[in-house]
Amino acid sequence: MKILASYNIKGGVGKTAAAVNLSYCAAQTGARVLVWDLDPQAATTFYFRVKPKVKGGGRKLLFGKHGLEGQIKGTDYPTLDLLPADFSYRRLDFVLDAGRKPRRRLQRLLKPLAKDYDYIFLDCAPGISLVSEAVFGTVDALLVPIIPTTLSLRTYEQLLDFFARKKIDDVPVMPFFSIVDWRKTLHRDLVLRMRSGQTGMLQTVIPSATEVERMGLHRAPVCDYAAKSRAGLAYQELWEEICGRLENHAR
Amino acid sequence: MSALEPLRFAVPEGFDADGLASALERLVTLVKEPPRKRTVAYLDSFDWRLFEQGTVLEAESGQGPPLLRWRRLSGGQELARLSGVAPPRFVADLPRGPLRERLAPIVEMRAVLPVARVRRIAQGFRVLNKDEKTTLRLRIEEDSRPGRSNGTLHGLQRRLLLLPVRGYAKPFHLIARLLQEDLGLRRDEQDPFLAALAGTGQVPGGYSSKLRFALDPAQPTGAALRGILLHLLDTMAANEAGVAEDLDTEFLHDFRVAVRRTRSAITQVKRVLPAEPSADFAKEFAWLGRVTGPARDIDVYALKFDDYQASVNPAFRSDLDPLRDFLGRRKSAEQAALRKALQSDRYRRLTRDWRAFLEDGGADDGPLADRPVLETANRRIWRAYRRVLTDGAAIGEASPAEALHDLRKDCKKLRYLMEFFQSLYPEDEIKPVIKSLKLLQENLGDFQDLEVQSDSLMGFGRDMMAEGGTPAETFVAMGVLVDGLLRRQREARRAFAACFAAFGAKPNRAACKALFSPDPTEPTPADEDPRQLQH
Repeated sequence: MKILASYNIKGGVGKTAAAVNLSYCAAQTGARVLVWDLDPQAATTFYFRVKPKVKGGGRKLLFGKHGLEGQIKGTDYPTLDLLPADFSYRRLDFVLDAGRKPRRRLQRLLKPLAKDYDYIFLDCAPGISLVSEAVFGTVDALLVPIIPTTLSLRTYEQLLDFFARKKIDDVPVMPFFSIVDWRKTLHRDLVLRMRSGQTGMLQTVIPSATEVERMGLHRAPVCDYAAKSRAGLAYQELWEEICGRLENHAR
Repeated sequence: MSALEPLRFAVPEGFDADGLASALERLVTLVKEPPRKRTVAYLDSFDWRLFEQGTVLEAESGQGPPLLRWRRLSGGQELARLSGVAPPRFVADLPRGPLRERLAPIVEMRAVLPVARVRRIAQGFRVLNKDEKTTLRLRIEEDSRPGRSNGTLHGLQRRLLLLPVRGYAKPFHLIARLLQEDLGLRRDEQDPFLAALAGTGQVPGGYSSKLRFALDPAQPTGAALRGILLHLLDTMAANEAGVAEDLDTEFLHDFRVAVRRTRSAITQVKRVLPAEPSADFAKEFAWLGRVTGPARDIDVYALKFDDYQASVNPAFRSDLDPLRDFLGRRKSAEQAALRKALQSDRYRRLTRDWRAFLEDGGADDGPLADRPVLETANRRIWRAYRRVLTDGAAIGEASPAEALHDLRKDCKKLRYLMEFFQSLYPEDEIKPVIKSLKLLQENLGDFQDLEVQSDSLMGFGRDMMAEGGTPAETFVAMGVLVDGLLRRQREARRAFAACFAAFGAKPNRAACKALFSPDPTEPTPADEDPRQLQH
């Protein structure tokens, strides 16, 4: 089982779109996939048409006796399941902080699911919190969507600074460009510059596209209703690239 | 929480699907999907590896994209699926991914072959909630055997499947109750795969390369041996077509093991068969072993090729590709010779006469044919066991390779005897003994095979050189390979003493004595001074 998180300190960078589409692409290859929507905004949960509700809320989920399994919902796609968001997740930091070994908690909760899933995607809320730290302590890859703008790159540097300060060096970070508008000079320049350097950037770029914005209307992954669109193809390519990286890491 | 399992109902002839739909629509929002005509091929290895795991691999094709689905037999729970992929011959043909990763350790090098095929008309329905989320699926399936036009045949039923969506128990229970209580549908107990198999003459799990006899200790040896030999002959016959068509490497392997076991049974279980014809038969089976050998040798290299390639420095790996091509050409030639041998009069005569000999009772005329089989087993195994101990103990650091090769043969004979007569002994006592023998055999096998392999590679190299056109880099890479093999062979030689000591260890000796010794007070060779035996 590989655990991947879609994460950025900054909001609105395409985290949820990445989590929804990449998990869908993974399931299309026959993998058994679980997405855990950790963001109280519940956008991933909404896209999969599931009610954003977890019985007993975040506290019971994180520290209850029954683990995660009973709260999992099947999506409309075979082998793709969802652990829904809940409004109570907005206080997840406090809940986590009150418990024992908060940074190891997610790992402990996810471990028993290894027999059921090949991939678990965590769709994280923006910000850098105790929950984020627990995510860092769990993942096999941290997928960081970045819009090629100054502010977005700055938050990525903040993240790297945070890792350096906390001496976290075992999180395989996989940044990639998201919502890229090739008509904008700034986007173009930043993408080309960053891609050529030794930045660890994934080569696939997710374009800015109306099909992605329409996910809210379709309530489905782009890769389902517009598989052959530019964005749909880009997500598939991104997933293949991530798999390649994961394989290299494993060696 | 236990996950919901799919439910399967038998559907009577003339069942009204539209009536069902309207009954359901009074309770839930229902979407009818377009009906689909598909062909379903059920795939398994010849030795039923997937069935033995309680699973089956289905390959659907026809309207819509092709689909591979691996599922459990009881309950029908899906284990993995892959869309857009044609049925593979080997698991290695599948694209990288979970299906391949999970099937690979089960199926290994075997081909997955269609064991049954049905034509299926499927009508799907989805139950939606107010978010238009699918919360339950229903499917009516009607199977018929392909190639016949008159629809449903014996054993191929219509069924209604109720497929739960995880976390949505309510609609599932609601509809399940409606189907059972209001519509009076009965659960369909027979898995569609087994229904499709019924009438094809195939018994799921009906072939295994393992020997599973159930012998009666008091049974005369002659009859028991006849049963064993007939089983081995059946095994040869069962694998014959797969060998001729080269469906995968294991048909030939199993065939050859059956030949070797046959020879071993004829020569090891002495004076049970009449001496005269059985010596001739043994000679003929030796011939059969010889003519099937070269093709197997090539198979061994083909099976090991990926490991070979991985064992050399990445820089040399692609240099070995011409060797793979050479092996491919060699295999075609050997395969042709093998097919010819199987079609030869000599082979037909051998199998025909051997069967007649075994079936028509001529086999029971040996002087010791009436001895109870347990007694024979004890004597033969004990003798073979003592021989392994004595010969093994005589091997020291300076002993020639021949001594280890001979010991390997002794071990093989002992192993076959133990496997023939396994059912006469308590399973929990003989299993550990066989296992310890197996470990010793692996060590001896490595020692010999690695040498044979390096010799063969040198031979291949010479042949490739004579053929011409092979780049120098390939020969260099093969040299690296040979060096690695010989290094491993030396390691196996060094490990021998410890492997043999483990086999000859006290608890194992005590177990063998208790199991096989006709006279438990008699000392085993290693109970005597082992230092003496070593010199």
